[in-house]
Amino acid sequence: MIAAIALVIGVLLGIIFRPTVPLWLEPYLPIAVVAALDAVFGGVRARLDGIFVAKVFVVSFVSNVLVAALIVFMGDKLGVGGQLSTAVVVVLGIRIFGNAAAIRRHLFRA
Amino acid sequence: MAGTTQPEAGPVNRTTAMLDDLLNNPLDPGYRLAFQSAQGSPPPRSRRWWDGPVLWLACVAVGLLLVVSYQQQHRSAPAREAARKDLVVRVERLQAAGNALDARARALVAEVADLRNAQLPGKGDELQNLELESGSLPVTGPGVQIQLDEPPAPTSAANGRPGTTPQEQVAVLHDRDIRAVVNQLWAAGAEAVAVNGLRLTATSFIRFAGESVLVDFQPISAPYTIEAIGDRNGLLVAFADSGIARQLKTMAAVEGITFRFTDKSGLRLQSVTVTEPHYAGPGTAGPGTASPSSSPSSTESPR
Repeated sequence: MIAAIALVIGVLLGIIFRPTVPLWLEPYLPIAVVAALDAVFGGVRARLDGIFVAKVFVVSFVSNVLVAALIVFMGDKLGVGGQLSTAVVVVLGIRIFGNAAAIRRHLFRA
Repeated sequence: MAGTTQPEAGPVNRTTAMLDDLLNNPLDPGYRLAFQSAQGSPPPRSRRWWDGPVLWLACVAVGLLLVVSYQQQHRSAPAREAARKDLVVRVERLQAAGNALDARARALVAEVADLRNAQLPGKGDELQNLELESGSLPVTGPGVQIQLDEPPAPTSAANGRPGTTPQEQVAVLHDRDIRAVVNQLWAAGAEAVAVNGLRLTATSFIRFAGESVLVDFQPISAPYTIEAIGDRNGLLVAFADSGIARQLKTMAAVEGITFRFTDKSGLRLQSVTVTEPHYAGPGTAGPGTASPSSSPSSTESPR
């Protein structure tokens, strides 16, 4: 509950203050969003499994975002940025799908 | 037997196991570990005072990240469009400025010619003839007009983005057709030739780049009008009898291009600012011979 309220507050903050992203950060934003979604889905699933630990959620969120951005950054420097971000999206996408399926099983018993 | 297969099966199993793990067990293993360790340890240790605020902050960050990236995606698109429009406006403005400068240069050339004629009454006619030949004076007179156009329907559907198909595949008429017509007209005795209103000089070229034919770096497009001033009967007869006219007639019958040529009594061709040719001079012969301006004006004109 508190998490949902905080999420809404974050969205409102973004809408109100309209922060501008510096240009050098812009390529990493989509990957960071996918990584954050992965962390969120993992957190929700852990919650439903009853094994949620706030510390793991926070650490996985921060490290996911940072590592995903770092991988894309390294890929850009090595000339394989597109392929590496595809790899990141594929892996995180599989995890998101798996977690979403687990959440669905929890919610609908199906 | 089993001993020989085992080293191969080992790594294969491990990689498939990794993939299986990724597919079947998407939850961060940290949760289970942390939960188990928290179960094992005394309860007060699992809950610390900063758990709530940090979770709260992380959720705020997630929301912020989502909305910022959404806004970024949807705000940068209009910005890109605006940048493109800005570029278009700038190009158009520079083109207009270039045209204005060109017109001014022509006016100044005409003024210079007038002043020179007033100062040098004797040489006026000869100079004027040379200027007519070189294209720095507008000319009027009888001549022929040749019209070429692409077939009405495009010959091939555009496969790919516009602008990427080379002109060779899009157009039936190429720069070499126009060039052949122009060369034929010069050979038949034309005194001045213009393609789509662009007067040709001694240094002009006709070639193509991308999808458009370039005449002196100015792109021109499909209805090509080639005008030549000269003895119109002679031009017409010589052109109608030429190989390029036969070839274009065949193309008109086979490919469906438009090909017309008529004689005109009053054509008017624009002048252009002629770039002054530079003559190379011997560099090492000494100070006496460095007069590069000895233009071939004293000799008879080529035609």
